Amino acid sequence: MNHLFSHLCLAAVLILSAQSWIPVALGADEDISFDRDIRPILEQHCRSCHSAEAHQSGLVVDTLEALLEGGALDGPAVIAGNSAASPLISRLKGDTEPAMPMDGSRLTDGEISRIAAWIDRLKPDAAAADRAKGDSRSWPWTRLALPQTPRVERRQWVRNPVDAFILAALEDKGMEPAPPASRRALLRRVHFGLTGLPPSPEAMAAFLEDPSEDAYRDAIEKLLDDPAYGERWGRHWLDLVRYSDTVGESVDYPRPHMWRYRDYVVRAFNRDMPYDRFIRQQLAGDAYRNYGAEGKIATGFLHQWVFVQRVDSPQTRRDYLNDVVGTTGSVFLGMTLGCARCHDHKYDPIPTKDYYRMEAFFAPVTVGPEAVPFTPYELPELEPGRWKKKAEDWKDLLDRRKEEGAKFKAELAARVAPHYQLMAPQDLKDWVVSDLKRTPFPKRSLYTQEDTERLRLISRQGQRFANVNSPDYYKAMAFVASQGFRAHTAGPPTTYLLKGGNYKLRGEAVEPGVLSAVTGHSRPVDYKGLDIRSSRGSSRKLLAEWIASPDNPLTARVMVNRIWQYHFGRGLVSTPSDLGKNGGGTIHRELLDWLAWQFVRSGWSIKEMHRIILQSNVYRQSLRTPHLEAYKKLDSDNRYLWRRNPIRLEAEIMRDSVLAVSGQLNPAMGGPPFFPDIDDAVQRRAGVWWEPSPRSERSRRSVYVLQCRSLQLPMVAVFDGPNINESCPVRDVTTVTPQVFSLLNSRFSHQQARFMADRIRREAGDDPQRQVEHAFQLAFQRPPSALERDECLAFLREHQVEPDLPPKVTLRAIRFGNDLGESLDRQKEPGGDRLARLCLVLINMNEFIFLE
Amino acid sequence: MAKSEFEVCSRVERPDPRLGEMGRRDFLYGFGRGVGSLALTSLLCRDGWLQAAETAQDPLAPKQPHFAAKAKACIFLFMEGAPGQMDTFDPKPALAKVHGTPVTRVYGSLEKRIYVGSPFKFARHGQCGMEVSEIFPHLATCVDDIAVVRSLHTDSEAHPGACFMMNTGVPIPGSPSVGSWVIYGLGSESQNLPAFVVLPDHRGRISGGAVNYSNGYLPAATHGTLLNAVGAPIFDLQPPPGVTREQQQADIALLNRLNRPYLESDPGNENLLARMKNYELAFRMQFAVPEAVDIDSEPDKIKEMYGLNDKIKEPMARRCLMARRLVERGVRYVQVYCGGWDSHENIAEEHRKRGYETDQPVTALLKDLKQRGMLDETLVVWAGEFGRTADNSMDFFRSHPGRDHNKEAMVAWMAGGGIKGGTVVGETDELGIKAAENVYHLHDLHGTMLHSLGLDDMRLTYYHAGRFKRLTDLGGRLIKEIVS
Repeated sequence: MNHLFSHLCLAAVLILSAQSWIPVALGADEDISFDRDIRPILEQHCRSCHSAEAHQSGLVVDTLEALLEGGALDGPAVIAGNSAASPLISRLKGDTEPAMPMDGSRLTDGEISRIAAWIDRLKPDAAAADRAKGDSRSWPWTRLALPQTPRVERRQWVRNPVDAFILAALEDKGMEPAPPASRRALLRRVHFGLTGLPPSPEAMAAFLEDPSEDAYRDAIEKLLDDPAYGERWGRHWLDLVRYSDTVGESVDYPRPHMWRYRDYVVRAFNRDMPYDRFIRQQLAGDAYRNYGAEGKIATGFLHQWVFVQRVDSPQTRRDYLNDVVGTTGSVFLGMTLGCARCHDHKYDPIPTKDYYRMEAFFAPVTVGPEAVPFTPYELPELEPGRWKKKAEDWKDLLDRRKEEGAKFKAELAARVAPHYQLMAPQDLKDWVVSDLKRTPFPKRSLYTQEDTERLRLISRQGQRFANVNSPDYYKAMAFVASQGFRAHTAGPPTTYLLKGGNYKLRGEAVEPGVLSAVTGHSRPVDYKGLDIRSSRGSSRKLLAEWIASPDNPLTARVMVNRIWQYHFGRGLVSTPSDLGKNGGGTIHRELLDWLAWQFVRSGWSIKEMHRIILQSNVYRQSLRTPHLEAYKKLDSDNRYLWRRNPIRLEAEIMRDSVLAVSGQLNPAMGGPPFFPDIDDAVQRRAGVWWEPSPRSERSRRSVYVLQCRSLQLPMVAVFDGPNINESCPVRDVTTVTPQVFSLLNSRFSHQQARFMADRIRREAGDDPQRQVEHAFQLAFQRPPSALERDECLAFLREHQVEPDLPPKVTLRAIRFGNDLGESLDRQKEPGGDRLARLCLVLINMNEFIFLE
Repeated sequence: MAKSEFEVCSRVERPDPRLGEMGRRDFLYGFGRGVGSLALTSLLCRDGWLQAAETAQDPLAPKQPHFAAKAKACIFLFMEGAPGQMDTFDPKPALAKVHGTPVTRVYGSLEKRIYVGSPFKFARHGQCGMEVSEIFPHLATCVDDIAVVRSLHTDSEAHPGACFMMNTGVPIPGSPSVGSWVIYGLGSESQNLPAFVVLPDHRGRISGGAVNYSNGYLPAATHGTLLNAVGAPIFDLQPPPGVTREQQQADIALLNRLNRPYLESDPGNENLLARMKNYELAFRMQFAVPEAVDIDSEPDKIKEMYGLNDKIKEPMARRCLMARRLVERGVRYVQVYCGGWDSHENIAEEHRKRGYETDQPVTALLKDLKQRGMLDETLVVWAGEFGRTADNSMDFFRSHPGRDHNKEAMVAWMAGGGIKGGTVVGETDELGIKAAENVYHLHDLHGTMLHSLGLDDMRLTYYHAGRFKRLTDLGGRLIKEIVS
């Protein structure tokens, strides 16, 4: 396994070199793309002989690079900028014998002139330069400057400069923006975007009544002040930092104090902590005296790596450093630094040496649990009553379980003992346990299925892993970074450049240093008065200062792109953790720069960015445009933003919304994670001891669910939850059949549907018509259409008489006490309550999980 | 194959005439076999509900292949972690001679390494005399049914990238998987089961995750469906106790009716329609899936044949038997994973263990398909994500020799679906380091698989990001030697 890294790195080289994508430098007047326009022609006519596999006479036509290199006969097949001198053209035209293709077929004149036009537009220098990697003089490495707001024709559409930038690009393409979305759609958009929760029917009614611009502005302000905002945007950040309450891999031990970092993130968003401070605290909060406990907790960022058990401990250290350097690079700088671990970056100006200079900042770091008193902003201080009760309940539960377990084992032993008198007591216990596990019902006279179940429960309670019973969750501890690492020798560890990323192959020693593409050199730097050599103990502070600086060309650009992405479903750069040359690129550089400039100028205020973006007309566009078909042909990915992209809610937001409309959502914030009610089979498979929290706890927002690497909440997993092992910059959106089971069949959905039905009866009375009205108001904040109302009423009418059935006592109820039992046997068969079934249907509707 | 429709769903009550129009629709929703479901769409269109359906083509509707297909279905046995070619189907006596000799070469970086001869004996088998490693004693009895390609190579040498390459033809995540392309090209045979099923290894997730069976840019309905081999095949497959089928049927009928107007909110958003279809499919799956994966209903003789009674073989046996049952029921593309082949260290023991746990189940699958007359119509492919090196790092060699990653040479075999059994194609160099004769790229393997299924890889295209994309990028070459 110690060569895994070299494999990965080698593979990275190979992947990169296997890529045939080379941007073609063209004049501005016409856009001919090699991949789109030229390659298909060559593929069709030439490839049977001139491919990477066949390559007759050494010529390959698959890539621009290969064409510029050419073959044995003619030398370069393409002379950039000069089609007349290019052998490719003369062969195709038949000016040079033998004419191509060899089979006697000919390309059309149109095809040949297209290729010729493309060659003529290739700039010789640019073609050569483009083959080299992106250099430090090009975007996004350029110094941030305020771009000029472009002029546009439809000036009345421009509400703020964001609109001008987008509109200018649209007009340039001959397109126009979509009409504005309905006010209803808009308010839903803002609510879900900022808080991840639907508006209440009342909020919607008030908003629709007041069509003024102020009403919209007020709605935004209100949501920005809502604590739910931090929970929503904190979750985005947790995706990026691969937040987890457990260490990962097969032995999934808990990191029980990690919730304090999670609460820190939520709080930082709610208080609109300036982003530069947010960076400094997470990277080096321990090194700043003025940040105190908060800064220490923030360094939990440095302890999110997946711990893999290794034979050789130096490799474990490598795992840590690789993770933390790579994640720092992608999260804050939007650069795939990890590529440079084994070789100079293939696309971006990041030499291997820079990678190790960056790594050197982290070389002395260790992160471990440390006593950190609770701050006034944390749950134990904010709500001491609730905290105390939680902790006590916890302890009670633990004691009770222990007591019950001991008592039950004794009882069982006593019951069985007479039949096996020859065995010693301890042996007997062992026998009972192992025998029960092996064969559930061997001797009915001695014990029952319930006994088996209880015994299994007790034996699993003793297991560690993500143990719900761990008292560590309640200690005033946190994972804190310090400069304590000593690699078997005295003094700070030296960082070496490693060949191929292999720790056994040491190259030159390097000093901590920042990216040379920004500084222009790779000497050790001092920064803001911090000298790397004199501040040994806090070299990370220097890194943090450098990243969090307005002079850093990457930091602000990366973050505003992320903010944009979370509002629009896709970033201006579609690869938000890779703004480099191999990323998705963008046609909106000026807009991105303008936003980044405003971001820095606002004092790195994320809330200010929301205000700017949400005020724009671009944000308010409708999904629908009369030009849908035409524009799809021009720009199928909607990169120009000629309409709103549909957004499907993330799994967590779906879950939270269901709780919100059922009236069960418990808004309590912070504290140790809760354990949702997960199917027994799933729990067992994961091998963790998982005892569902009490119902009110389980009705909290999804951001507080235990983030367990070996067991993701099935609903989150099936609805494209983040890969919790790595930084997740973009969530997938898939539509697969198992999602149906999660939303239609799960105990969670059925319970919530019944709660929602109860709520409707309570709030709207017994009249079916009013019930249907209210159900639609809760779920969609609109009245049902006539058709919908009729359908629903017919559905409700069909079985008005609901059978009252005796409560069902289930095995789960026995196992977990009354709490789960209560929600399962609410005197009615779950399918019998028609209104509850209607509610179940509503939360399964497309309208419920897609945002207009 | 005709028995693919299962009993539960075919026990159809007549709709209650009192329910009128609604009853008629429910009837179609719940019990639609092929014809019923197609009829559903047209009924709804006539009622003016499903306007989108008039234009939106059902991505799962059965389609004609490009030419006469040999195979109707494919079972891909993915040996994740990558078996060594010289330890399985490509004997290298020359390598045994240099065993223990050092070699300095670049592997990630320049390093001193040691050649490793295969710890396994090879013998000739069958009429064709194919050489097979001793770790596959069962498979050796049906070599006349399989064709081995010894000269494959791929583009990636890291597990995730190479798994993406094998599964999607591209070493970076995001492209459609082979199964998705096949479904896109041929549609679904089964109205009750997902067309593309993945049976993961019981030990853990696939390297690179769900991307390996994702639809990429193809229609959402072609996404692969993961079935757990142990425990509930799909989480929450069944509604809570007390919910009857009739109730759920009525619920889904109402849901689809209420969903219809919303289609107009975003015409062209295929996810909306795909979701609606998923509810219908899900409803039928609730009954079809448990039946399809009900291994216990198989006769003891069959269970024994697959090795279900052996604890070590059981997980793979289960998956292989499930694969056969699924294909029998009209599932088009089944991927079976067996992990644990990544033997950097102690290949002698590790590969032998993998051989032990897979050999009997895989062989039983071939023989079972054959005895049912299904092998001709089912393409079976066995491959890892790359090959392994002829040498090993010093450290591991000193303890227990193994092999590292190698993309320049790898081995795969195919059977059924018009594949010429008893064939060996291509050669690697003397030490098995690099494919040398009749070299084939993974694109060629993919192209040949599509060919067996009646699809021309050059014609199976999808316009995306400004160009027509293919599974095989610029086209794969047919591995003619093995195609009959």
